[in-house]
Amino acid sequence: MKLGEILKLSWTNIWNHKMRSLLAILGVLIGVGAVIAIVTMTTGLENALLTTFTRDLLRADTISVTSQGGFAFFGSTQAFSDRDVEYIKNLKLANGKAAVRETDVLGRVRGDVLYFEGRRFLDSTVRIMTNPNLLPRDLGDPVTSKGQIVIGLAVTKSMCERFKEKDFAALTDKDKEEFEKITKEKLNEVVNEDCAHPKKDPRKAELLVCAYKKAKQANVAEVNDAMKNECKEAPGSFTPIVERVKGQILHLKYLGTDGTIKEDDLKIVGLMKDSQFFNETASYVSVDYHSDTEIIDGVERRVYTGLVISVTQEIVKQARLTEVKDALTAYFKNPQSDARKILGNEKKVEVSTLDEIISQIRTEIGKFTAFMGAIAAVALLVGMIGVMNVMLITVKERTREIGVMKATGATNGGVLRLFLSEAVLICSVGALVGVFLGIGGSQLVIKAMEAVFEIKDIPFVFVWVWYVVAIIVGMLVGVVSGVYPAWNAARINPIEALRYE
Amino acid sequence: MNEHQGNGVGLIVEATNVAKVYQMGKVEVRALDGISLAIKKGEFVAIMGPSGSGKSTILNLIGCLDRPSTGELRIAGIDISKLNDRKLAQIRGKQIGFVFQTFNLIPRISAFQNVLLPMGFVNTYAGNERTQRAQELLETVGLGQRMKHFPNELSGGERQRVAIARALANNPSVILADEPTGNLDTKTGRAILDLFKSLHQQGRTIVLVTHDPNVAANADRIVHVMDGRIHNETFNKTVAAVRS
Repeated sequence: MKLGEILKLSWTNIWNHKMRSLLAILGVLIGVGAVIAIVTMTTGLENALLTTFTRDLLRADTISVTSQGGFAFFGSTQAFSDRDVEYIKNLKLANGKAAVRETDVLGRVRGDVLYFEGRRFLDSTVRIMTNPNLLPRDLGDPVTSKGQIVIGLAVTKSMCERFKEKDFAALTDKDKEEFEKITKEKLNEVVNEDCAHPKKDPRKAELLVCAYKKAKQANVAEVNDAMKNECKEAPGSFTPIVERVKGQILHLKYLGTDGTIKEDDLKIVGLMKDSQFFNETASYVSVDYHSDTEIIDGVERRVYTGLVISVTQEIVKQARLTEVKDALTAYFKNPQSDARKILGNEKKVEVSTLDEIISQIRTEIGKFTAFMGAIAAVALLVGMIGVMNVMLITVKERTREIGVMKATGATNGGVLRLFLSEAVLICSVGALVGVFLGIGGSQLVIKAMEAVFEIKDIPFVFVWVWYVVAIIVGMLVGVVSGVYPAWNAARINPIEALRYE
Repeated sequence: MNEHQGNGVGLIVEATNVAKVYQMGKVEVRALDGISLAIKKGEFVAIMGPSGSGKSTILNLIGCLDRPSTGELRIAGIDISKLNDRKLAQIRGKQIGFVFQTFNLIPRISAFQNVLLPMGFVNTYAGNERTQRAQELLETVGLGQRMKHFPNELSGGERQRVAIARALANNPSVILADEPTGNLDTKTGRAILDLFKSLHQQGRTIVLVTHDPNVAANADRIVHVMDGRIHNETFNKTVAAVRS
């Protein structure tokens, strides 16, 4: 029989057992769908991570230094002293030329607590970052120097809430009572008509209050909601209430190098934009004097968790980044380096170029994908067993038919192909629909991940190769699940089959 | 084919001392105990006998569904005793047209597609000839108007007509009918037998297996089988007379 005829007959058979075929297809569909959802999702995650590192953190001319066990800058030990930094700044290549343009540090502030108007922010940490370019893009001027701070999203939100309370507190009790009466529609009407397009006005929060006062009828809960929404919006989107955060003074208490509690007033000069993986609870200062210290060889030294080393233009032009990297690696292996003294012999120092960090991310995500994919593949295996089961039932049911086909000239091979094509067809349909549902499903997973891990804007990436592979694998699953039942069908003795009831 | 012509011109079935032995556990069952039978082209032969007599075994052997244990069996001149499964299947497809007691149509496809199906298994007819041939055959059996119907939309008699059209699909050398009227009422059975007779008159070779003397009476020759042997053969004068 020609392939077209075989497929047509197979499809007729599938169509005539809709429920059974549907369940078999569903098994494969779930398996393929799960794999595709995971692959699509993790690819998006990988892109998000890479974007964070390449856009927000590192550039092609930078080399990052962290301690072993940390991933990029997360979980690294405070091991790099100001003496190490000084050495790197003066690093020269064999030809005597300076290799390093700039060395930036990342660190922690010991015992840090931030206050605003006498109330402390919980869940916020203050970190050290000397290079403003390395900060996630900011809506304002991100240059931080002594007495200045760039605040993270958590602090921004917290301050918004504080403003909201203050604004609302400005209303009289009588006003508030009257606000209770208004409906949401009326509230919107009032805001839009009476407050002269507040959306364009930078002082929207105050205008809202003004509108409520004017209307003398507003619902307290709705006022709260309206203001909460105002604060929820990303700080980068320039909403007026967020704008009020800038320029405010925060009060920082920290543990000084001499062990006493020190205090500083810091002016907010920038708000951190949401970055997928930047800890949103962290705020950044650039000042050296806040950083943690260690006593090394009897001398107290500032220590940092990581370094970002920018090489000179010449090094970039001559593509000698690796040489610099090797020189740095050699230095951190040297027992004379402070990092080696702090880390001892147990932990290594990771010196990585951007390319290496990218491949490191890819490897880590790849492991995650493989692990999740393996779990999903189990679903595919179960689906395959389902198809095999359905095919075995089908063969049993059609025994007599097989007898008739053999009596009318079908060869064993012909019968085999017929049943095999049925299994392959079921699996192909399952794989095809599975791919589409998997792509859709990945979006649900991404949304869930964004919600749970508070990661923003994981991109949606089409991984075409995987979709093609999935369909081919689906067909192979069809062959594997169909071959035994089809072989059973082919072996049937026609005489017995024709007698079969 | 040359060999076939040497042995006897126009013989569709040539069985020489054919035996069939089944091994049922430790017991040996001799279903056929050395039969010799020759069926000429254009003959209408009935094989009669009680159940267990071996008539079904003869049918299976002539139908190339099985091979003889000993002896020589030629179908349309080809010795089938030593053929492999694949070759046997091809001979079934090209030389044999089966008609069963229970019709055995494929329920999920139309009458037309049922007739078309065997043409897909062998290459007697080219792809573009098949549709027309299936239509013509259904018209021949009187079902030109019911081609698109599915088996469950047809009466027993109509189903058997479709089965006969299917048996004719690849223009076989012989039509093997196993109790073709067994599941039909007398009147419908009569009509089916008339169809066989008219096919016979068109020159088709027909082998009909039955236990019913009234059905067997339609054939030119009746071969009586008993205990795995051919008991005797009778010639139906009336039919023979009509034919001559």
